[in-house]
Amino acid sequence: MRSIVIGGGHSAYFVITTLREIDPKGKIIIIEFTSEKIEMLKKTFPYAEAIQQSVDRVEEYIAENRSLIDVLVSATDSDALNLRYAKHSIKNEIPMVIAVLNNPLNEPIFIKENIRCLINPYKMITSKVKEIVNKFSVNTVYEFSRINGGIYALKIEDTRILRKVQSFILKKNLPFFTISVDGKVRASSIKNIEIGDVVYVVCVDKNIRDLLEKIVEGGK
Amino acid sequence: MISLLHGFRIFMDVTVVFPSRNREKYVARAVRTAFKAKHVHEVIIVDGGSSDNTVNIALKEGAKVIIQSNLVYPGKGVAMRDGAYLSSGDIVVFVDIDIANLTSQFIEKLYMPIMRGEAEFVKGCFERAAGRVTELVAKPLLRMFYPELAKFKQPLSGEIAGLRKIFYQVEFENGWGVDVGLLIDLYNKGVKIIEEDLGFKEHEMKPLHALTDMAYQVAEAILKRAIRDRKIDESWAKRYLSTVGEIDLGMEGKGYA
Repeated sequence: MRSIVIGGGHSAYFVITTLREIDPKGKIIIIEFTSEKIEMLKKTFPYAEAIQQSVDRVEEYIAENRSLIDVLVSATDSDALNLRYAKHSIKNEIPMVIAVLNNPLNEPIFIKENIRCLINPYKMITSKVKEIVNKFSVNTVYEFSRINGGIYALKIEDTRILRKVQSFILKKNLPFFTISVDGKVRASSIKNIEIGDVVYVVCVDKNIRDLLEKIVEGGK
Repeated sequence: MISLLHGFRIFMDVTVVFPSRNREKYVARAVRTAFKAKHVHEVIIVDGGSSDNTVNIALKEGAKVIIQSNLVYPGKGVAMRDGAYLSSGDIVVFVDIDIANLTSQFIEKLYMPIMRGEAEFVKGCFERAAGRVTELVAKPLLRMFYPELAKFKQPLSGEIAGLRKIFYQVEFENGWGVDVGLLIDLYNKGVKIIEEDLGFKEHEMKPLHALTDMAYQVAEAILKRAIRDRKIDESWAKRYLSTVGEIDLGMEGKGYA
């Protein structure tokens, strides 16, 4: 796998180390703008090639090397640059284009520009706070990047929610597992779900999340 | 390469960038006015996390919108950097969004010297007397360390225009020090700079108490550069200049090379 990572900050650090883990023999090129950072990157990632480019030259570089790139990750500290480079890479038909957001508020802007592989490192804050504070909500544990779905969690607060969730899971034939109050993971029969359990449902349709939300809210 | 015809740089597109935050009252008019200016093909609103309708109005008016990458306050420099990075014009113009008497001629005046090949960076100035931070902080410090820049009437003016490429050669301060920082850094790079009188600017004045942070950041931006450019001895500054301890000298890992 041949990857290009644009940026040399902390987001790029996680991207580079993960790419290395996925494909230890793959080629990773890091593009940075300043010479001082290039030296630091060469020492930190000896297995990667770090090259210096001016902000305006990056697009030319992508276009010139488009046939050689499998994955491009734009992870600079500016969402404006990440948007610009991701758009350009999609236009140049790079097979996989990923943008890492600095500000989560920019997510709709990137989606509107058809940048589908978007990493929002702050997304977890919402679901974690909801999980801890708002026990009645349906929380997004994980959203799949390539399909319209995810893993959603909800707490069985009472008998009414229990019955509704059981019949819903059965009707839609949804994969699920539960975690009991005492922290035990159960992945058995639908009949074993108990009040107080947190049920994790795997869905390939985001509408399912809304339906689960209705069940939980109706049960409040 | 942009060709010159009768002294004019031709086929130059202009991007106008408005840093903004909770400015729904001004945004529609600002975007429309900017689009009316000659050669303007793109208007960008860099939003600092508005809680009002600024973003939606800007999109409706046909502006490109991006939210500041880093939601710090003051984040004027962050917004300007994002605007410069997102822009595609040969010339980038930065204008305050809340100028009550903003006209397309006002914007044109800023970039026309660049089109005529007279400058690469234009600093706008106004008929009104320069502000308090300008007179009491920026000008005295510039006179001390960068006397060649002391001729600028309004070195802190946020109304500027420049060839896009020059903005990629310098570091943007995050906050209020951005304008004077750009002026010094572009001057150091040998960029051809002129000051252009834009006439009268009707603009909200900040109350005196709100100027302390601004004055601090402006002083910080100038002193930081004075140390970097060896106009102040670094070891002396560290010993005697109490603010320097808090100043990121910006020389490690940053784009001053």
